Amino acid sequence: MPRPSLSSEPALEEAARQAEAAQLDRQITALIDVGFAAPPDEDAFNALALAVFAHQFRYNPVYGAYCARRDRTPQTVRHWREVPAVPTRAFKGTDLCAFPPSNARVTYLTSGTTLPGRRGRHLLESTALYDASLLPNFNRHVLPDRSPGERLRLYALFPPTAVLPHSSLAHMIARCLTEFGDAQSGYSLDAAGLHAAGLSERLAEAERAGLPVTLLGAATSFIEFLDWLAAKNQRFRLPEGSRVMDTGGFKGQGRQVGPDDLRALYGDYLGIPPGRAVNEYGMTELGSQFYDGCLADAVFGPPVGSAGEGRVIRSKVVPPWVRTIAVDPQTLEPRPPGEEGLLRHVDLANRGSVLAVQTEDVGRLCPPELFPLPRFELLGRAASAEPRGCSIAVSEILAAAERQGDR
Amino acid sequence: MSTPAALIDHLRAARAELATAPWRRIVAGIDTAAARFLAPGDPLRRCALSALTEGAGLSGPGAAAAIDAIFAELRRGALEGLLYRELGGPDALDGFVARPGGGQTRLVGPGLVLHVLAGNVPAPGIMSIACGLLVKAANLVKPSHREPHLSPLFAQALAAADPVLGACVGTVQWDREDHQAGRAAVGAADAVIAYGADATIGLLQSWTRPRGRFLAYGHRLSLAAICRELLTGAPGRANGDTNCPLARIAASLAEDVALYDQQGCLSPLAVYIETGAEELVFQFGAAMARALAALEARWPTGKRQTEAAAAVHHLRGEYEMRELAGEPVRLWYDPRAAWTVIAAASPSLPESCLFRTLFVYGIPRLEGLRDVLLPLSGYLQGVALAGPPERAATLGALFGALGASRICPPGRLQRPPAAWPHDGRPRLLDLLHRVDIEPLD
Repeated sequence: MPRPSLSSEPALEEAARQAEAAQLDRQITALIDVGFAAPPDEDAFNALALAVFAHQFRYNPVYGAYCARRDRTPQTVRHWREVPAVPTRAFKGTDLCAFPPSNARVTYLTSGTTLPGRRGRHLLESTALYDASLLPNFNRHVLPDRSPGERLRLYALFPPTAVLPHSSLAHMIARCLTEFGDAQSGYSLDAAGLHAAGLSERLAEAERAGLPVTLLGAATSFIEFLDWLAAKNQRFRLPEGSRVMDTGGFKGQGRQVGPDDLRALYGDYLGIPPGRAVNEYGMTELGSQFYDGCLADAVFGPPVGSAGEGRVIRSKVVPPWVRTIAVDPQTLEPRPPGEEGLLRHVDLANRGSVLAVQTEDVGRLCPPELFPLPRFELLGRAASAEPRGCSIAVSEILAAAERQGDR
Repeated sequence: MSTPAALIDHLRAARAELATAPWRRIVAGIDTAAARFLAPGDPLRRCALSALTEGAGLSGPGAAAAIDAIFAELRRGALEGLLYRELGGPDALDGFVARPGGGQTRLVGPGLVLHVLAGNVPAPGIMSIACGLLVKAANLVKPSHREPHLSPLFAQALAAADPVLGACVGTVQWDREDHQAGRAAVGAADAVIAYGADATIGLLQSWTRPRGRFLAYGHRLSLAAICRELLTGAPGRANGDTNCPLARIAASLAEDVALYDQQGCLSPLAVYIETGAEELVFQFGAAMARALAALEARWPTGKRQTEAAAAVHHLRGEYEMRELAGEPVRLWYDPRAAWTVIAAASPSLPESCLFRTLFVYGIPRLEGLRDVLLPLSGYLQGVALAGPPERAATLGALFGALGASRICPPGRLQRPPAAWPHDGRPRLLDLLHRVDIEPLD
């Protein structure tokens, strides 16, 4: 499809765009509805990815120009691997949306940066596609043993959307509470911070009643709660079926707690074994999320080839409407499974923005024969480059000044 | 490598002889050692080159440029320049000399100096050891884990030049988490010189004996500036003409950017060009891009670590999108290499991720940098200034107020003279203590 010049009928152009977007969303949702049990259909994904790329090339002018100068157009791109990926940081540079920005009903912002006015934004016209991707993926990997229609007790260690209206994670947790939580589910964190005492009481009640609970939230909040429990010398043996979903960095108030150590603490203080602690990996710039497969594996059967392997590899499941590759940090060329690289995600749920997103996160794809769906190990999240020796990045100077309250 | 305690005893014992050696002998020994690293066939030079290519990750030609720059400032002339500049004359190191107005004075150095080196560039560490010897101290060196070989190689060269010098330099290593070993080494020293991140320096300082000296060389960055007086002629002349003044400035600045792959405290992160004309800013950006591209063939960028490589791609992504969205920024880079030039019409703080990432900003008057650079107050180290002598004092005062210790022409920024006051401090005087004998009659 040739790139059109500015239409003399903007209303017609917009109507055509909306129709095409709605059509794509229907097809993407249908692919999502196929579910996790069937092996991924490569041809179906590729066809849909190319259609989304063509749509974005046409209706996201900045992205279209970005692709055109690389000679990657709907005519030259034949496979989703050839779709130009945009670094996550580019979302700071400009609004990357395949619709008129004034149509945006939802704005997700990345975490604050030190230079004012430069937070990354992910604009959405609606959260429909986001929710369509979120809910089945969450259900499969965090609540795999839930019966259809069953409501569970969920407690969130994260603020509600009223407190963080521009956080995609807040929206995600809110939707999960609404969709899967019972009437007594709720939040243990608000603008004032973590209400550890209240959460502790609720967990005590659940323990007495034999009611399994699901705790969701940021790893930093879990660390804060566990430190609070340690200081009070309180421990729980939460009922069988209880579980944790954590996300985000693992630095607790200046102290580092690695993921394995954190899972050990869940066992010590909550009675939740490591196999029932599911880590979530996501980002503002991406519509879909990735979860550890461990809990789903326990319910639906262990992965092929993992029996007797010894060390359990924590790996994230790539849902069937996403493709993930690891690329060489210097050349950005794809690396084969087993080799470390920077993770790049091609996500159909990003129909409204940019299909292919390049992260600064380090990971490696698991050997494809091990699992029915592709998986990767997340080895490191992007950190601003640590100043080496006596040179320093400006952002570090400003961050240090902020911490000291100089500004 | 012997245990630190045994090594420290050995160093202190050897220092007794160094303490009575005349300063000329020490300068001669350092000069002889330095010459080894500058001699093309010398095996020590070959070892030093491979230390920098493997440890510091510089390319072959980049490592050669670095070794040449480091050891050129350890020759006799440079060292004497340092001694005369700071001390007025080195004889007070050897014994009492007459004081103006009567009486005598001499300068005495510490018994043992501990040098804790940083990993980004090797130059400051080598100069540090030389300064320790010039004040007749024994030197315990903890190199960085990233590049641990150059200091021992220098020690080897010193030993070959003069056994007394060699006996007064020892190397020790400990893990970052091994606080016990760190504390022991710091506690044993009379003076500690620490390079690196503020957090590292803070920790080392907390271990220093109450009466011990602590010299810190922490976070710093550098910049470049071009005065309007040099922007003569029609803007079009900047295009492609390698003889025009702006092209020559660009070529010189490219060397300042490229040495050590921009990882040093004297590496410029941005150029501020004194103009309100957007087009001129972009033309200079293009000139810098051409210069960095040309230099890439001569001094290829070294290997970046994963986080650094990712940061480069992401910075490019952000600015490319801004450019495509119509903002007044321009971007040039080589997708197969590390260098990147980002030009913006209005001045800002450069969020450079190093590895030859250079920002070019326009500012109508350079005096305006007083406000733009205010958040960097205390962190500025050097400024490569292209401008007429009559502007030097005003701009020097402006940059000095932000912490700068060095203003020099483009092309010289990363080759400071031995006499350069690192972080604005006198390197030798900070280690020495002065003894005055007043007239006794």
